[in-house]
Amino acid sequence: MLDIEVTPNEFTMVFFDAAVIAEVAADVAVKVGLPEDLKLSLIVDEGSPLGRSRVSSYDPIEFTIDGGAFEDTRRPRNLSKARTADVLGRLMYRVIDRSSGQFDDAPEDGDIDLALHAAWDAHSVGRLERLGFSPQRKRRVYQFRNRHGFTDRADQAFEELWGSSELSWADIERLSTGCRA
Amino acid sequence: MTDRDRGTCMAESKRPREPFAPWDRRELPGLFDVEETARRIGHYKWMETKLFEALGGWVATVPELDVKLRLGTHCYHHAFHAELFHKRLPELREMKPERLTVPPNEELVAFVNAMTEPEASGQTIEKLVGVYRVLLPATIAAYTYHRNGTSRITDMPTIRILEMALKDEYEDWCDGEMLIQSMIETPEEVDRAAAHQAKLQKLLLAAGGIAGPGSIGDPYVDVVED
Amino acid sequence: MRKIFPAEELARDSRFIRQSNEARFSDPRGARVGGGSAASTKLTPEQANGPDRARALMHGIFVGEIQALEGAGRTCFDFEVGEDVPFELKLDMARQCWDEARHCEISVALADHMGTELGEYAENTTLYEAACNPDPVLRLTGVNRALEGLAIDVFSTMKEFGNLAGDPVLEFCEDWMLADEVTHVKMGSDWLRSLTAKDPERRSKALEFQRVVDKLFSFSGFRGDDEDSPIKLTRQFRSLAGFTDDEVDDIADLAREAKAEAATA
Repeated sequence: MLDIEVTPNEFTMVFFDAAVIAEVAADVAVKVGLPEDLKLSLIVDEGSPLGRSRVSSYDPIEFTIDGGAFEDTRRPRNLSKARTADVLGRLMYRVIDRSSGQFDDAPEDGDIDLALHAAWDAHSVGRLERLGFSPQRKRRVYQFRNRHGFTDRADQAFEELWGSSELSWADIERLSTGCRA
Repeated sequence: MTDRDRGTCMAESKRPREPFAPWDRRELPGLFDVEETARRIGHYKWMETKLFEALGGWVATVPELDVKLRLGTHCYHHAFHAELFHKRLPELREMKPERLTVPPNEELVAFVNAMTEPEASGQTIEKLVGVYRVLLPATIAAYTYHRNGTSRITDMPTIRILEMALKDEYEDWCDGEMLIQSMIETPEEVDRAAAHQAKLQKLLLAAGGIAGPGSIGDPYVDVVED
Repeated sequence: MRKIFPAEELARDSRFIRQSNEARFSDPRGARVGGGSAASTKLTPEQANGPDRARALMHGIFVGEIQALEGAGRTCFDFEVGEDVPFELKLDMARQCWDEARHCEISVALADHMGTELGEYAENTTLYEAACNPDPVLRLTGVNRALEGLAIDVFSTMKEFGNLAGDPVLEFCEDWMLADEVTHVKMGSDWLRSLTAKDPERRSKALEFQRVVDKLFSFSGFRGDDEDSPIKLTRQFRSLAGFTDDEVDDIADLAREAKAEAATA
């Protein structure tokens, strides 16, 4: 049984429900294949309307997320389950990838450049789409193009990242550096 | 001794040509004198102004995004026509264009009021029908009659304006008709469109057209009884 | 059809969700929402969330263009020629309708390019509310000078963003819209001067309304004249549009004032 802790457990600035966030997290964790005995901490900065999110610790597993990342952009201050699932799924794939043995040569998250982050995200979110989530593909294409150039070569690299199931860090690095403008 | 020596130097003579080339069949007389032309143009300007005002006003009231954007574009088309007519009037000896920028009669005012009456967000069909199934066809008819009937020699500036306006009117008519067809999805909506069209058509009939009686001429023949 | 169409009744399809001013200004996340300290870094592709911020801004531009179109359309209808406004002013408003309709079309195409869905973000109707003023001079000053002036600043920023990102589509589109906005602001400047040439009190009232709108739409200093302003005041294009240096300085001061107020709130 997954142990998911959401901080704060009561929100005062936004209309989030910690139990709902935990429920979404559990659902995503099962679908992406995180181990069932995992303990996961979610630290939500409810005072921030920005959309930043990161894995703040891989052991123990902890995600730090700006409240804006979970927010329903049509109804500010309200939770969007779809966006929450998108953010958490992407971060969960980071955890899965780093524990797969194929990412042992990947630098720490803080030392990865924006282009590589975008490439890794494309690979993660493509996998989420195949699990039935709605990850806004065109948005990811745009982010990828901003980091790699508005070129056919970049678009082809994106397709490969998005469509592949199990790439290694070396694959991601190759595809990203190989298409940069 | 050359012509030069004789002091009778002339440019080399060319064979004379007719001022109207053989394919130029334009004739002088037209149906309308200056005053009548100015009267009609004033009515056209009034009508185009009312139309662009209505289209502009309706933009905020229609929820359909494609209709909203089309109304904005068409609003400008009719304002452009109104401006062309406005500039033509002083050329027809009317130095105060506002004097002739009037409806031909109160019946046309009643028509415009009825056409612009629908406001609710659920009345897009009525708004479009009033313009694209009643007013624009009448405008096209009046402009076509005028263009075909006025002198192609003395009144070419009016013809040019009418041709520019007609190009827009035809395209906008097509745009609007397609929007109407795409919006009507049930028999009830067919009835709504038809009812509103009939109501407005009768008001326009009472007005005699956008320039009043004679907007499109009179095709009937007076037969003398024995 | 009524004259003066209220903002609450602006017609929208089901994709669009409205956020009231009340909800917006009562957000306890305060200055950080309006673009204060946390979000006050300049909008560039080099930021981690740069592309997403650009997407959100582009959607804001899109709904702003819809409201600008609606506002210009209402100005065509709400006033009588001769009594309230000159005929030529209405012609300018009709022209603006066409321009704003094109901007909506461009924005829709850009939304697709950037991966944004129509209605993805809540809509606030403050722009249209400025266009509801019953005095046509105040309406033109509030909308054409203040809000279209903001549009000049925003489009310049977006154009630069597109340039830095190597995005030829974004840069191309923003530049075309920017050209139109200079025309609209100039319309506002020209009509303000000509309609109030003999009415200094009306002119003063109009400029005061413009200041209110300018301050509100500086978004707590998000738009300003400082190097780190996310949206930078574009002096060059404002000058083309009829703003004097003093007027632009005034707008810059208003932005600093708004930023300071937000910081202490």
